[in-house]
Amino acid sequence: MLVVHANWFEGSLHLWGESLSSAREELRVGSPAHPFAATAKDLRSALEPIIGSLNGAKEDHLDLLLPHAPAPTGHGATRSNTLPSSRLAGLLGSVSHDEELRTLEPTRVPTIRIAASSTIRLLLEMRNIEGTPNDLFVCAHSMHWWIALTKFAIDSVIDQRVIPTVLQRRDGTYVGQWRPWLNDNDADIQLADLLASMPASARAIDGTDGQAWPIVDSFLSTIVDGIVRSVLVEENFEESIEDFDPGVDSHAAWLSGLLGAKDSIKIGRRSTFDVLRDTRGWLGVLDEARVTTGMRLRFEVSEPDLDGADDGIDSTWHVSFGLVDPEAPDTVIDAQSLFNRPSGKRAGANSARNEELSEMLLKELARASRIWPELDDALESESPSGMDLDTRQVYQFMRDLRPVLLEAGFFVEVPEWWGESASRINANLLIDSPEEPPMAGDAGGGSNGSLGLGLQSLVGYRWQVALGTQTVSVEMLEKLAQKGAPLVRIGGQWVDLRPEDIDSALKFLKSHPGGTMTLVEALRMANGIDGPPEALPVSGVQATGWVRQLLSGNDVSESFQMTSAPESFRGILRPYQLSGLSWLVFLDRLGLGACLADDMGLGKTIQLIALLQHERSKIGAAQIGPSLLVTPMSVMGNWKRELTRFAPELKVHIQHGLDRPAGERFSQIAMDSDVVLTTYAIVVRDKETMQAVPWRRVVLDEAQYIKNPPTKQTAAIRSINTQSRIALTGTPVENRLAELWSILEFCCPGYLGTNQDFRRRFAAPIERNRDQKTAERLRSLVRPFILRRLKTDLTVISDLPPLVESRQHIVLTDEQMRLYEEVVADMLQKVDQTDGIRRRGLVLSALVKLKQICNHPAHYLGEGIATRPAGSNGKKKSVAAAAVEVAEDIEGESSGEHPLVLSPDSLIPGRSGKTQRLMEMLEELLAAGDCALIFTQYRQMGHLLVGMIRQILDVEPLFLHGGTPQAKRDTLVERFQKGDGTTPIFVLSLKAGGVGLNLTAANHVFHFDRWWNPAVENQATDRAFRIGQTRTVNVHKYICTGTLEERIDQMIEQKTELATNIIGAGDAWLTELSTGQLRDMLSLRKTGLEGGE
Amino acid sequence: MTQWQEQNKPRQPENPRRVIGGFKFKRKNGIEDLPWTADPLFRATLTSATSDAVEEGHSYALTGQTVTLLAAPGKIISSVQGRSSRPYQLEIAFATWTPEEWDQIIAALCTEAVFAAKFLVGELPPAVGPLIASLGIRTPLVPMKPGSKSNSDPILKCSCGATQPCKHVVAMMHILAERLEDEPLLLFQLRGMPVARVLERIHEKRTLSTRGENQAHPVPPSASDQTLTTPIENLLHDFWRPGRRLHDLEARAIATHTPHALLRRLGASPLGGRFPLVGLFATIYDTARTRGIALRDSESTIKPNGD
Repeated sequence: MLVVHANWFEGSLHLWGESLSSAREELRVGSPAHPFAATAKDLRSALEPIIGSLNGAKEDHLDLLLPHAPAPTGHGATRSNTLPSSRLAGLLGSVSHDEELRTLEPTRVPTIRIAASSTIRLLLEMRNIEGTPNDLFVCAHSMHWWIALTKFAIDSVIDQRVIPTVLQRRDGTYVGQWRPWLNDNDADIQLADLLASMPASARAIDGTDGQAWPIVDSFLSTIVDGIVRSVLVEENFEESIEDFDPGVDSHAAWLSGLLGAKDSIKIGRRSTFDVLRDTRGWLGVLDEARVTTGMRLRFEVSEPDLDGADDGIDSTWHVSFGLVDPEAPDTVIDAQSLFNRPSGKRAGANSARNEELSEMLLKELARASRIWPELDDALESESPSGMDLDTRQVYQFMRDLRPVLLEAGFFVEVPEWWGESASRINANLLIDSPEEPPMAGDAGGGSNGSLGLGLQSLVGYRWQVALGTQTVSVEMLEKLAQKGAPLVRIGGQWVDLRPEDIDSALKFLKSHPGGTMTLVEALRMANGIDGPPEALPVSGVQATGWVRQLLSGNDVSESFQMTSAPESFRGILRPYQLSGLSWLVFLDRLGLGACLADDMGLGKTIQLIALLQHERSKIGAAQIGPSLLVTPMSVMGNWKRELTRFAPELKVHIQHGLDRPAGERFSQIAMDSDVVLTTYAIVVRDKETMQAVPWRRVVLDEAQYIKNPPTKQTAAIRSINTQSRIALTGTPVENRLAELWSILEFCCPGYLGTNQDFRRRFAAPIERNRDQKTAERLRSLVRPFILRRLKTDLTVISDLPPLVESRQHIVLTDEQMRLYEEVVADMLQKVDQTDGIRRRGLVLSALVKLKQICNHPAHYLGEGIATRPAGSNGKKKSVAAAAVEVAEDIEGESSGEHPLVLSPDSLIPGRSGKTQRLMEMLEELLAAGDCALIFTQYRQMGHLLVGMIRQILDVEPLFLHGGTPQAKRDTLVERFQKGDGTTPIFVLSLKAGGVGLNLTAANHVFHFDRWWNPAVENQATDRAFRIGQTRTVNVHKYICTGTLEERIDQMIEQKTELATNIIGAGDAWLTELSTGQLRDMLSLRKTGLEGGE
Repeated sequence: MTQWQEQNKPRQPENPRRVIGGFKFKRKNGIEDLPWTADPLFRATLTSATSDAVEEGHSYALTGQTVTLLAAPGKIISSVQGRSSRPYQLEIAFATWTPEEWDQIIAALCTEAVFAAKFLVGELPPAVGPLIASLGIRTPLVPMKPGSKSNSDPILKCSCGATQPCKHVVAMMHILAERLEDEPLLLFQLRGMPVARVLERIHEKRTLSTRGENQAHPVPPSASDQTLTTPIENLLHDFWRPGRRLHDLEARAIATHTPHALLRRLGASPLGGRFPLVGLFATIYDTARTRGIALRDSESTIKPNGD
């Protein structure tokens, strides 16, 4: 595995790489050569299978300035150590070295130099494989930036923001060049974004000044010139100047450097210089608006004053001129009043200003007349204040000239209906549906629990054509077509009447008489997807009956009959949870799938539990089939607890473990249960068993698990036979298109089309072209089926307390369980044979071990946690060999060298239920843009977490522990509080970070392991929950099910007498327990959730 | 003085006559934090004026008693309305640079593109002052010795006849300071050459240098904004990742495309050739756009591995 980097140097792209395997084997001091850089040969063999042949690429090298850690002291080392890049560090799981001590050192890396002409293809190929992992290489973080820069260059060509320019080279020769035009405001803002975000690594070329612009300038002009020139050469544009003599015609001279494969301008020096000067003058015109300071010309189009019936075709419009200060465009000095102002004595002080303004107006008019030559007529008058235009002219002005004038820095005000889709001809879909949806199998209407036909329900429909807001008939359209006017007034409203629109509207109405179709067809058509109004904008859909309710989607409160909380529900549903329940009930009844995507912490679980109870209260449990609840292993414990707590009457079967029932026996058990709880893994493994049951419903929790479309898992889940489907997820699905498709393909099969079709129609335009219209269409298409409420929504925020505490009950993995039982057994055996201090010591050390096991096996085993090998003695040392024993690492009790590298195995979150769940939750909250504090008692666990977060989530977490010096603490806190999204996760040790700090940027607090004293935990929570906090703070306490963590949590919760004695006492009280009590306290209790994975 | 005498003294109103449309000193921070272009002269004026002049001048500035203020090359002509019926006439004469000194300065300003680029957007980089001083030119860019002596810079004159600086000059200096903040290049004009001419001469000079690198297109504004890029040595903690603003860029909507917008803004070519340039460019733009769209929408030709 390589990490591939890119740099742009002297007109070509250099690719270089870091080799994961050499970094693992040989993290040692080096020469100026990069110690674990990939060879050019390795690079080639990693890249070519994935992105195609690199013909024409040359082997080269590049001198970079890269961050180094100081050389280890005491080994006589003279050179510091090259640090891995952020991507490699993630793969290695290395822990960040103290930033203060890092230095930049010249480092030579072997590269593959890509010819300028192949650069676009290469970077586009990198763009295409973004998000599709491969086994040979990963791109460094900077690659995404290069891809963004490439996109920007291509977009300039597409948007025709490209200029031909002339450059004079150092040797006095002249060349022509196509380059992007970046001086306009919009482009300049984007350029500023690109310059400001350019990674340091992309600029750190030794011997340069590290500035972004020279590299960006060179890259952009090379790419743009490459695109334009290649197409001009292919299409033989050079032929067009064959008959002109560059020596005589300066245009031909200039073009000689722009049209052909060669860029040199071939004529005498004197005249070449003229070309340079004249071109500069010409291009300078583009920059005028920015360079001239002062007032800008403003045009205002006013409608003619007409009576109601007038169609306005032959009316006269007025365009008036004025001046505005671009900084305060609301204040307009209109030309009329400017020229009418008294001048001379009476005007006094203002006359000079007045004359100045008049002059400015004239200058601006002259500037605008280059774009709009008709303005010259107005300029012939002595005091030009405006112009009269007929309807045709004003149409042309608004449609063609306005955008150009706006770009050139002028202000153009047009009537507000202009450009609105409502002022164009548009098509409108009418869906007729009864109040109650048709039901499957019977005509009774759902009283016996049968469901609607869902997407396959037939609905009546017809199309209407509207002008503005008025529906128009075929006859009317034909009459309008005869008039042939581009702007017409209908019913007092102006309409932009393009002849091509009328044509397509007429054709459309004739070929779409209406009829019936399925709901899925209707919804897709209403959003302009299938069977389309050819070239006619679809303004939307109107519906009656149940379809209308469906379309009002998330507007739950208005159109829905609210469902009350089921009586059997043991708890209170907040108002937004009730409306979520009502929404689920509604869709469920129609036989439609639903995706409940509420923000983390809003209680998706209990809304679903309430749904299960609701249907049973309506119909009676006996008639309702079982629901299959598929969850990741990490949340099973939680589901079980929540079901027991809120709905104890529901019969829950947990399908899990090696001895789980199969075949007929399982079907029997399932049919006797209300809920069957299982994991994604089991569903795949027991596909046939699952398929045999006629499920009432399949529910996916953490539905983002099925985000990769072509997996066995997804196929298995979709193949299960069920009446309805619900997906639960906390990630913002609407913005993650691959996930959106997969989840909706589960909930509403076929609704978004095939994956390929979806990529072509939606994902590509939205992701690549940032196509807002397509994004909006997609949103409206999926709106009926996705309910996502945020903690910040007004309706939710008023329901939420400022602090929400929840417990995450987590199941141990098999490995953890085995270790846990070993430690308990070993201790119980030994305590019987000892007493006094030795016994106490035994108990205490067992306690620590058990807590470590609950955290992560690697924490307990101390495996693979290595200090950086000192390399100066020349002895190679692999990381694994350098593993150091990690004994007790509770903060304050250990100090010592910073470990730099963790072994890959220690970073597998799946080995621990807690880390698995933490990664899932962090991913979700990062997607929502939230920030989190993670508290642990153990520094070593902190290191492990930091490594995992970096590797799994690809963000750089901050880490504060007992060994962090004060100055560093302050910078860490400052960086976190800045809240710019670059450092959203902060890992802290409970002792070092639990007091004193102000970390209100966080709205999630995780207590990864528990401290017996709630006061200490609360104090830590208060880092985020304090004055200055404006959001709800979610506190997540992690507890391993069946372990001592759970036992102690229960005691504290129930405020038992024992608990009052132990709170604040640390672990010492445990040592006084009898062996029997210890067994009771510590041994693992079975939960039915263990084993089998 | 008897009562009679007092009554017959030419009547002076207690407050100055009100001016309609005069220049009011409207600066948000008042006289605090003036920029380096304006502060030295303003401070020096206040220091050498009497406290009465300072106080009254300040309130004149606030009520807008300055009727006119004209910046001519080398001097300011202004009128300030006081208690008398007519405004007082002020003339503020600045030391100017000789033509030879100007040649030197223009040549020095051309050595770095950033100066020309900044001037074009009306900004005056602080480095210009020291640059001019380093040429050995006696008169500094920023005047700071106001007074009535012949070697003052500037020399203050007011028709009120009071000791300089009088309250009218103080009032006017407020307005001038405000102007210098907004248009720092005005300093060149005060030293004897209209701003437009300075820009023209720099432009000429840069164009005429036939040696070295040169280009026909202007540099975009962000290119000369040094604050955009953090020096790499300050990014050791975050060396490899793109900065936050990449997200901003990606979240920004792309403006709707207007065909040939640039070409229409450019208008006819001034190159004086006979070849129909603009028509050809229109075709080129359309051809290139098609190619660009094809590139943007191109799919991978190589099948990714994995299942």
